Amino acid sequence: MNLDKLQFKASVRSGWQAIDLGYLMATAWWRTLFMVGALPSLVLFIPLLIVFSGNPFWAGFIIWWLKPFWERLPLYFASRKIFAEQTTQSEVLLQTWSLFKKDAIPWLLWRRISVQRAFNAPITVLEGLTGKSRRSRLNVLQGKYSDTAFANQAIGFCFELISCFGIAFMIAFFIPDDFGFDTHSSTGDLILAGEWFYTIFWFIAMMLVLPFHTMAGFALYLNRRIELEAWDIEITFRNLAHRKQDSTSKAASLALTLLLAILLITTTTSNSYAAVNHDSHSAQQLIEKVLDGEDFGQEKTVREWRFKNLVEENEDKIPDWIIDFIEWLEKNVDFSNADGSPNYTATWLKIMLIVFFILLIVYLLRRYRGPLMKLGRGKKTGSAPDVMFGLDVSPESLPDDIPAQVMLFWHANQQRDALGLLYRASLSRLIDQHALAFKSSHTEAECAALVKTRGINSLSSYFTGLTRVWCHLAYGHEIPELGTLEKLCDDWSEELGDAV
Amino acid sequence: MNNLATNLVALSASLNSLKAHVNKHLIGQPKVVEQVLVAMLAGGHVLIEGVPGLGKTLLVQTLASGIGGKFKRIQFTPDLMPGDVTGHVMFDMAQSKFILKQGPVFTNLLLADEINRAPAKTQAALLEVMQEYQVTLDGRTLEVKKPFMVLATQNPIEQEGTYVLPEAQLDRFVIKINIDYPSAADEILIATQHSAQSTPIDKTAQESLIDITTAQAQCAQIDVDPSVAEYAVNLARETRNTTLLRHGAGPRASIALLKCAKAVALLNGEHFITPDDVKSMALAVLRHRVILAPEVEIDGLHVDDVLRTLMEKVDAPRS
Repeated sequence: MNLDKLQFKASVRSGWQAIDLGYLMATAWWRTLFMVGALPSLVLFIPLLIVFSGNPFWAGFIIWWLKPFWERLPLYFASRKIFAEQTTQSEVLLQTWSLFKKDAIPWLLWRRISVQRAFNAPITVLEGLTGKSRRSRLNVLQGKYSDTAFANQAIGFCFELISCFGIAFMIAFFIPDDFGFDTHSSTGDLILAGEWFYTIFWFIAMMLVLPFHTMAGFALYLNRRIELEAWDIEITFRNLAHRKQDSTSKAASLALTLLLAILLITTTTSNSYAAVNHDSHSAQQLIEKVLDGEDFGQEKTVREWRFKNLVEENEDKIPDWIIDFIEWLEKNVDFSNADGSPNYTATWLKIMLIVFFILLIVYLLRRYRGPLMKLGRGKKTGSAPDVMFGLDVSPESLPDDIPAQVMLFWHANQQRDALGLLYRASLSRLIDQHALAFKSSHTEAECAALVKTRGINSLSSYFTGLTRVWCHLAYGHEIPELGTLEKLCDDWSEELGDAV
Repeated sequence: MNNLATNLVALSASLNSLKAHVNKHLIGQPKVVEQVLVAMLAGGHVLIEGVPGLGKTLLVQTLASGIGGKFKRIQFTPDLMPGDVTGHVMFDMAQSKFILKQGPVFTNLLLADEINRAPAKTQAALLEVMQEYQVTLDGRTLEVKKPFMVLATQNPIEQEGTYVLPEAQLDRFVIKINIDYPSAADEILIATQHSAQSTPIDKTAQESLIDITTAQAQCAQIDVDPSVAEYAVNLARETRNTTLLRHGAGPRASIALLKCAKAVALLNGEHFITPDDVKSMALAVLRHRVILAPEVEIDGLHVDDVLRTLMEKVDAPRS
């Protein structure tokens, strides 16, 4: 690794800038990256298609599962290319077996589902680390870029999907309508042909996207190393040293080089906590000393006018319960790695999960509050509306003995009120006892049809009869016979009155 | 009301015989038959939209025979002139005088096939007759026969070279019916019946099954409760208070809704209308009087879907 030959400017970038750099690398070397990724996979894909010709999905699935392998060759090529090493396509392909066998089993089992695969791969492929050393190296490298590494993986997946369906739809659009494809008649042959096409499109999409997300992950990895190992500073000092070497005497040059070397070592050391074991006690003492110094130790009293409400609002910005909750989490949940160092990814993940589950429970309680309330309070009470069609249908608005009250109205020559009460009481009971969801827009016949859906024939025929009589009175102004009303009252007690 | 109630039983029976007569020949379209009868009783005209070969001509022919009326058919084409519809004055050499030749509108039931194929001028001539029930030829005003009903058809496919009916003229049709393919069982019955006949089936009834003019007069006498009238108006007005529609239905829609509801009540043998009668005709009455908002049209929504949504927003009355 010769930093002088680094092909891009070594500077500390943000995660997204690093991904951008990765895409630039993929664009610059796209042809070779694509070929070294696609060729070995194609060699396997074609026989797999033949073997699984009856179910080509499995061919695609196996290729997809072996994706960590296909990513290794482009990664190897890029690792040479960034230091201006002239590596040909065939040279990279010759490395296939040696690259594939590195830590193969874990990468095909539990690490296959890693959401930061492209970022973690260089540790195995380029640094050759396995087991415990790999884990400790990961702890050093993973940090603030873990989210971006996950985003890179997700973006790659989305682009694969988009590309796959994009290819499929583009071809479908070019097929003339009268070509003879009847997509509605899903015959076995057509389904199989569809599977074949989609598997092939999937493979193409996978290979098209692979160079980009591999390079983005690699760029993130490089960015982290530049940050930790201060490549940028090292390169700057080297350049300075070269310039000075030309213009000063040999002795001066030697002195300067020594000075620079000392500075370099000091600076690099201070930046890299990968290589140095901190003496935490002495560091803590140093920090305290600095904080007690003149720059930090000053106290100043400032007086100014402030709005009372504003102050209260600011004080209430973080509610006490959140502070209590976080304190509780700190006390009760272990957020550290095996070696005792804090694991911030795990911390956030755990917090997110707990918050997610709390929100989920709140959402479910809110979403199903109606049925839950019914369960809690029994069948009679629910979220039944009090007013329907402009009528008060709440059980409380009804008299205790409805048939008696109906007959009372009738004999007081208030026939409309009598039948109105019976109809209203029926609606109330149907809502309350049979949980019928009437809407204000429902007409009489629609209500009767809704009652019919309950499958209780006697109730349905009673309500249909009542509706007919009600309509004749309400819209036809026809007063029913006394006998009809008496019959309706008797049947009402039987059909709807028993649960009073 | 008493006279009406007395006649209702007989009238309802006659209407049901007429319905059965038409349904006997036009298999698998009972809803269409009922809606056409409703329009006829309401004294309106019908716009039928459906692909060719669903029995539109047969429907009109059978209906005409059922009411003992005359039936004529005009195939609208781009070169059809207004005179071909209403009639014209021509010089008779033998008699050495001008004689009036009445057009096909002088009939009881007129089938205007593919009305959107003729230019606006010809369409306007027919639509004027539909509105005025009279034709002016050579300065003489001639009334068309009573009952007079136009059943115009439109083909939803093959829109190339058609002249779309303007909204103002569409409003003159009391209802628009969407005629669809019959069910598989009905189609088997149709195919079996027609393949067994060597000559066209005789669609004529033995005698007129109903005096349609009397029925129309009776229909107008049906009672309307103020709450139901308000409901009909609210349904029409709801189409004007939504962003889903670019153009809502006008007051003619409210009138048509009540007229059609009365006809439904008459068919059911009732002397009053209910909110159900109004709602059952709302789609047919409103669908050709509204225009979908462009964004709704782009979303692929059908006018019936939008109208159903709007109907859900209008409270049904409980008088």
